[in-house]
Amino acid sequence: MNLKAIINLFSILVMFFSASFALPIAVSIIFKDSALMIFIITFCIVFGLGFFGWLASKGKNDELGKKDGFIIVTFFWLILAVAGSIPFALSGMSFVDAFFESMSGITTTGATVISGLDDLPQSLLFYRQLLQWMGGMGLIVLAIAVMPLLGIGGGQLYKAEIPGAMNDQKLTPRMKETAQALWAIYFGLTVLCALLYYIGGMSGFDAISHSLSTVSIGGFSTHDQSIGYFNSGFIETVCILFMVLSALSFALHYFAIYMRKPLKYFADPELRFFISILIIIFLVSLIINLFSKSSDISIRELLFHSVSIVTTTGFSISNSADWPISIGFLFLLGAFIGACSGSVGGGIKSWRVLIMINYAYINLMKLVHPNGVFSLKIGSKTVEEGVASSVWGFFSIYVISFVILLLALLVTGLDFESAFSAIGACLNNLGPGLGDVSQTYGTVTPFGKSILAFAMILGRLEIFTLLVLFTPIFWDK
Amino acid sequence: MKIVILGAGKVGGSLARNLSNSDYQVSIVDEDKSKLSALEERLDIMTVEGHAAKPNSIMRAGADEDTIVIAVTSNDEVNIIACQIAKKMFNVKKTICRFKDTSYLEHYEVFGEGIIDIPICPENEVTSHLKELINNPGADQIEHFAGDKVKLVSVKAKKKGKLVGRELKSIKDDMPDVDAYIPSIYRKGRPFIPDGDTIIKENDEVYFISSSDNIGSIIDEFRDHEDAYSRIMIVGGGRVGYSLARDLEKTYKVKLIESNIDKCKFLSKELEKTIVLNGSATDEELLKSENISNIDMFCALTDDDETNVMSSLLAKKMGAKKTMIVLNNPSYLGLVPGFIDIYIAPYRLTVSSVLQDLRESDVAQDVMLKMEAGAEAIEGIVHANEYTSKLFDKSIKDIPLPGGACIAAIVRHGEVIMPSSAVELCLNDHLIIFLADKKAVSEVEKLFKSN
Repeated sequence: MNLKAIINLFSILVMFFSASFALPIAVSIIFKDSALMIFIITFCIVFGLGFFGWLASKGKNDELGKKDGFIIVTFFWLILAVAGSIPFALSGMSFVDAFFESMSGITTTGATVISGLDDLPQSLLFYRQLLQWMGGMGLIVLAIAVMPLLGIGGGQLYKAEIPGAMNDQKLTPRMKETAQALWAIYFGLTVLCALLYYIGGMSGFDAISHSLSTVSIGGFSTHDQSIGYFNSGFIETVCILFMVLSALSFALHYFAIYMRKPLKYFADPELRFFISILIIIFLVSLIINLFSKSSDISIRELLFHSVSIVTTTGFSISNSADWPISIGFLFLLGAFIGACSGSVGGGIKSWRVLIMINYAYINLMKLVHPNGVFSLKIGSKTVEEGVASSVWGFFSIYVISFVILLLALLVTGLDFESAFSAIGACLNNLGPGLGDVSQTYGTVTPFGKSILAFAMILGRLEIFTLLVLFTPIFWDK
Repeated sequence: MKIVILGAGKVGGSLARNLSNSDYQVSIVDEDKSKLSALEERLDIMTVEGHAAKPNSIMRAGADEDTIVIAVTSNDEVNIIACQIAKKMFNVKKTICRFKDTSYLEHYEVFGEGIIDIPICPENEVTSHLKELINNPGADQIEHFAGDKVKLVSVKAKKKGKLVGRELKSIKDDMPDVDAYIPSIYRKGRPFIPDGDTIIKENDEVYFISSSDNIGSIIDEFRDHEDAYSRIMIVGGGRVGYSLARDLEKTYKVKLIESNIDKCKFLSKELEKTIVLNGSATDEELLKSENISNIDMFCALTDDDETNVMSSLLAKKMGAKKTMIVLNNPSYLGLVPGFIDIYIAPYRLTVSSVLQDLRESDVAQDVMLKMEAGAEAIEGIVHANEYTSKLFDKSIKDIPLPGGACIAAIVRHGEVIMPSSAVELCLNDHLIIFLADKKAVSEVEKLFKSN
């Protein structure tokens, strides 16, 4: 363990993070709202802490090791969530609520405890969106560029599991270039999305705010009615488009833009699987809707919600609380499969599900052909069986975590439907759930909120990175 | 002319055998002394013990400006370097280089301009031959002549065939545009030369020669249009088995049996649809559990003749519809008549393609048709002219041929001409001569010699 080096790194990180408060401060000045002091105070606290930590840990530091990597990655989210919760706390929310909101933002989950968004100061609203955007960017840089470099956690899983996409072959020889390229793609998508929203009729403020949470697969909105507030087919189409684009592997975007190989999109088995899952879930929801007598959900609503939930974004265009439970559950299942690996989306990830399905198929084939020798193949690429079993291992830990967290949440007194969907929505970094939590999480007890915040960071760190910190062997000297 | 063969393995050995019989000075280089002495005992050749890619060994083999070097070791890199040395140091006339790896084959010119004159790939030839037989159900043998322009096909007449029970000349009524020549028919194992009035009977083995595009429709004349094969079982995951499976798996349901587990793992990674099975092809339980009775074509392609023969016997007994094997030792065939439908002598193909490439030869191809009966087909190139040969200025019908031999087709400037009395010989004609008995080969070969 290299405590001094870690503190040094985080101090610098926190100082950088404090710079991001300049944006809400600017918004506050432009809109002359009441939150100016909140952000100035927060800036002072966060910058002061960072500066103090940096002074204390300055000097010659040893190199960071693999174990340090796990701690850095976990605490990256934890510390940013704590630092990010200060403005919410200063605006009058309880500490747990503020932490929940901040964690939900930084993990791009999109679950909120606030109702009455429309009455909040613009700068605070903008700050929520910005948190999600920075969380998404942090994930891209960390999970795609830094973690494989350290050879740990989610990154290691990525590395082993996605042959050809980016992970058995780094995008560029240098991590710095990779991070820059991915950042440029992320930024470019955001600008494009904001422009299209603006063309679609949003105000400049709303367009920028929503593009931040769309491209980061976050799902925060500046209105209680979410995207439904605008009631515009064009805006919904743009939203669907960018949710899908951001849920695809950024490595594919990289190949399409930097290598001029857009055909890779069509050749990628994960992408095809992801799109088919989207289509299947949409079609099944259509069928369910057709056969349920009471419901009057439009195709437009089903399409938007299926994309929003399967990509784990969490926008909505109408209140889905009174939809048939089967449709809500179907969408939630889709969120478990989640986005593509190498994206900012959550869930188990299409790639892992694809591996699990293929592995199961191989085992079926072995029953038919006892002497058969089969290789696990995704597309035309072979995946080692070790990867398949580690994916199954991941899945079982995922399920176990889900069940334990569900039990803990049921203890708080939430009904089963709400609790089930709340854990599902937070573990998959989706956002809104079903039943009591279909709009806000305000009614959940503080203990419940802490559990859900834990689920968010667990899901974001793909479980193993976080859980490894809880093993005694990790702390053995 | 001098020929230096590098590598005395199966390919090198059969090349040496064939070339030493036809007036070449053959020397052969190998590191394995026992292989060399085995060849030296039986053949009139020179042997050199040494590494194939060492200048010293090539020099001792007598390479000079008038030499053709044939590098056929089992190692591609050795073959390539040997060709480079032969060309650069000894200025040899021609190099023929064997490739196992097709990725080299596709880019062989990068090893130097004019370094490798003729690349050959025996495994590819065997594979494409097997593939052709599988793609033409009904044909028991397909041989190429004159650079693929003409094919000699053997087909067994079946009851439902249109032509069965009719006179041979009525084939013209069925297919007026198609030129086919039938040099021989085997009826109850005995050959005869048919004429237009011959009536085709069931179970006749008919040999016909035609241009490559027509063979499918001619096969259909002799048997009910056969459904294409759909289930193929391949035994042996070596290079031939693997590439055959890879080429067939898109159109057929392919199962491949291989006994080596590491090879199985490799195959299962490389092949997409083929079902790779680990086990022995002579394991009755395995064949049964893989539904051998539904297999349309059972291909035994291991390096081991005995495994190939035994597994195909077993497969046939258990209900496989057809069997096809590669066989280095033809003497097994006579032991089990009827159990093996199609066989291929793998290195014979290489030998004949090398012979084809040595254009100076008068006999470009020498193809065994019925191994047990000794029938052969010869492709000869007329190198003589009216001053050096007495065959000229005669109708080809008047060319004195030994008994049982007939001219089946003439290929002139790439055009196929069916033999009729009006045709006269011309320089560089390719004559395809069918021999019912291979003893007549040397007599026929004499016809092509210019003396």
